[in-house]
Amino acid sequence: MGQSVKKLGLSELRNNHPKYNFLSGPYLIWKNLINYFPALSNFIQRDIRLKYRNSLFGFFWSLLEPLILSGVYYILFIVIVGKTEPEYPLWVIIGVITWTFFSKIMNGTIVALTRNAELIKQVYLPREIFAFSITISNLIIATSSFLVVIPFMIYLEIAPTSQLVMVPLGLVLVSSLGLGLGLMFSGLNTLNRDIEHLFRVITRAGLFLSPVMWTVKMLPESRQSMIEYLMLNPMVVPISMIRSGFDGTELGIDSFYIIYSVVFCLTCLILGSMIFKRSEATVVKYL
Amino acid sequence: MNKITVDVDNITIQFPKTKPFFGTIENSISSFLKLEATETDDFIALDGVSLQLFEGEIVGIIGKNGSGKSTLLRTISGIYNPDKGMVRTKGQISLLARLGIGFNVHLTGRENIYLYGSILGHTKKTMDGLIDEIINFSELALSIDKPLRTYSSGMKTRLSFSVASAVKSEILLIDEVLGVGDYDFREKSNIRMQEMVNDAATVVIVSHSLPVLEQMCSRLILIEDGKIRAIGEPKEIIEIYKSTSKLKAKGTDLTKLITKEKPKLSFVKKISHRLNLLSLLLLRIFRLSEWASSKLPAPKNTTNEKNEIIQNHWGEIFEAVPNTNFIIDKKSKKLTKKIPVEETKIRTMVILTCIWKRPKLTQIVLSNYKKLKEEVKEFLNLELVAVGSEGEKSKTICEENGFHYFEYENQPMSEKWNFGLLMTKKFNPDAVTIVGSDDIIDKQLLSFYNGKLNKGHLMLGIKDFYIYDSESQKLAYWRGYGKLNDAHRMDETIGLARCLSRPLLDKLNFNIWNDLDISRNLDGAMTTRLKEIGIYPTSEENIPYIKIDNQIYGAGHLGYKLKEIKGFAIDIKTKTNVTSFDRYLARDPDSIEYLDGEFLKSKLYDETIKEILELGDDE
Repeated sequence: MGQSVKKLGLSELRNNHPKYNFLSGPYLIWKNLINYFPALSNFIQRDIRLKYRNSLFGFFWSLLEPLILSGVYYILFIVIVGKTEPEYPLWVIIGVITWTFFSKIMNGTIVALTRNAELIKQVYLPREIFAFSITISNLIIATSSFLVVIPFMIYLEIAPTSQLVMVPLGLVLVSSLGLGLGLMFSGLNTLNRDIEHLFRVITRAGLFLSPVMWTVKMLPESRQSMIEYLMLNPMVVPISMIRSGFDGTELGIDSFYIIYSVVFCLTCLILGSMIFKRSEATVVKYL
Repeated sequence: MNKITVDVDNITIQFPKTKPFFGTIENSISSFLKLEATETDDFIALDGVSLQLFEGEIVGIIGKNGSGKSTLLRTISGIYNPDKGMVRTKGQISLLARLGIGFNVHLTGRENIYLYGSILGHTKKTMDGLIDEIINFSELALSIDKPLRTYSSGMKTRLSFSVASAVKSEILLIDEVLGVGDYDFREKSNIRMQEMVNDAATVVIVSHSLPVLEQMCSRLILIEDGKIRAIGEPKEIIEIYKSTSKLKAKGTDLTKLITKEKPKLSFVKKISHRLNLLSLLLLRIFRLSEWASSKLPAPKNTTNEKNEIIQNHWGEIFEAVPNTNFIIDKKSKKLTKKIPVEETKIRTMVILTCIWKRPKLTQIVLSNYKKLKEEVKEFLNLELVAVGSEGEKSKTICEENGFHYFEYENQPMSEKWNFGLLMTKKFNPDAVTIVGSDDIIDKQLLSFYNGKLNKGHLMLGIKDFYIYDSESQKLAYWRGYGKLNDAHRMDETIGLARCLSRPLLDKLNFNIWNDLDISRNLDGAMTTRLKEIGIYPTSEENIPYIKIDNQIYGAGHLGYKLKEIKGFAIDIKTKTNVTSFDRYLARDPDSIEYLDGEFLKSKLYDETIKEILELGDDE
């Protein structure tokens, strides 16, 4: 018997659908990303190359878009508040770019499975590739958008300091939050498309609840007690970090809140990966 | 003994029919309001399938649509996880599925090769080494740097096959993509597959093309309802497959396949039907229905006006004396005997149809007329005439079924039909019956028409008909225009199987739709044209008689109910139909009566029923 098994080569077969532990989600994703790196990089290239296809301004849209939006917010703010600090336009631009980045990856990841249903049903490849390619291509676009900050820094005579290191850290936090939430809910979205609409509304509303048009430092003395509630929003810390990174000012946020935000974002990513990997097999059948 | 490369061990896969705790809002509302029960049972796509594939073999999988072939391939390639059982494989797997999948139309062919290669799990390095070979094999060197949107579907298939087969993979799965592309490329891909097999790979092909499978495969697997029915020599398996599909139509209970139950309508459709009915009702109350359906109020002629038109065109009018064979001249009050038109003679009747696309359905319909022609031989000489617009393709299908074929461009339809009518003159017909390329009529109806032609009626038609909807597999009887739907058309016949006799055709010079340039409502146009020469919708009791060459003819547009004359005429609806099945429901749900499949048995040839059932919703 043993001999015939060897002859038939049964021992060389590998199980196509091994059962994995729920906790091993992040590890599986990591392994798949390495194995399917060519696909990932091709998807990213495709996304970026096709993003501004057939447009006159092409790449400059990734600079123009935050500029125009910030212009509108700036005017709005001047109308409501009146006088502002000279750095205010810089803050708004950074806020807008970071928030756009966040909303694009979160909403993009949530629809990653439904938008790619045809491909998923026809070819096997790890489905997290779609989510990660959206995240990374948006990360590249956001990074290049930050180029628009340079003329403002020159005008305001702000020299980059060693605090610039907070920019990539902030972006990592934003990415893991957006990607984590996206992974968590993209499976559910294949069952019911209400999820994607819900999250689109959440990102719209979140724009005002996050320090995009305002900064934590703007909070008047009398309202300092509200800071506890404000800090529940995990996006407050990363946005503030990126701002401080550029303008070199003190972060001015209690380290407790920083730890909270970091833990929140990373937990989201890890938990999201686990949920995604666990629900993947079931969810594909609903596509 | 060769080594096993794929081991499928007793796998079961279920697809949920409804989504847990969610579903669409529409579903939730309707289930909440208990409008219709929501199904909860799962669809079992694969049910305890076990099989083993070996190195160096080409295996084909056959089975009906929806039997689970593609699901099996996708499970082997890792797309679906089995709910029960296990799939084990060895080495690299490539699944070649629908063409163009994974391609991006805005990227060039070359970029797409890299993209698709990476989707299949290959590194850029591997692809760099293979790119020249892939371009060569696909024969797309000239257009490889053009964006993919400029490619034809054949070119895309060539590209995807070239990429998928370029890298040596131990297992190549091919899902119904062969047979696209030209002959040379097919030959080439066959050789490529054979090479892969020689390199000890396993190739699995899902296809409907039995000759290809028989030629290429060393084993065939027949799947039926998610279970493996047979595995073995291609020839044997194809025999089994063919015989089962025949048996199914003959042996199974038609009442089960086509049920009497009303089809389930979605909540939105129900509401829209109700609204539609309400609006029709309102239109009727305000006497606007005629206006609404024809845009212009049709002139209502009084009997006197009608008589005048008839006299202008045909001369003297006579009236029938009730219950006798005599007619009376209105002016001179002279009695004349109704002379029956030579009853013993076998007439020539032309069946005229126009065909366009839908090859499967056309084949079914035309072959039915071929059989009908034989069957009515004793009392009627049928000549079959068809007009098509697709050249050789249309010609072959017509001539195979004993139709005389004429070619004319498809648009406008009025010209195409008119051309067909003109062509019927060649066959010196005593009458021409007009049917659509999706309409089937039976012997009983023709024999009834023949009797009425003997009595000297110029124009015959029917008012009701049967419908088979291939999409929902429902058979229905439509009782005709009613008070709600198109009340003004109640006396008129429907467009299906209108029969015009020779004297009428001569009067019209075989021209009905000339200079119309329309593609819709050809029956309406015909009705109007007939009215112009005094042929009005009427009944046998009120029909005016006229004299042509000393013969007496009934000058009216007579409509009969199939149900009363026991005739049969069926319209087979497919997805692409202009007037969808839904329209009848929307206009008056009570005008539709659902029948079970058993009814067809007495009306159609077994062969035809089988073909209709297999039609599915492909077309």
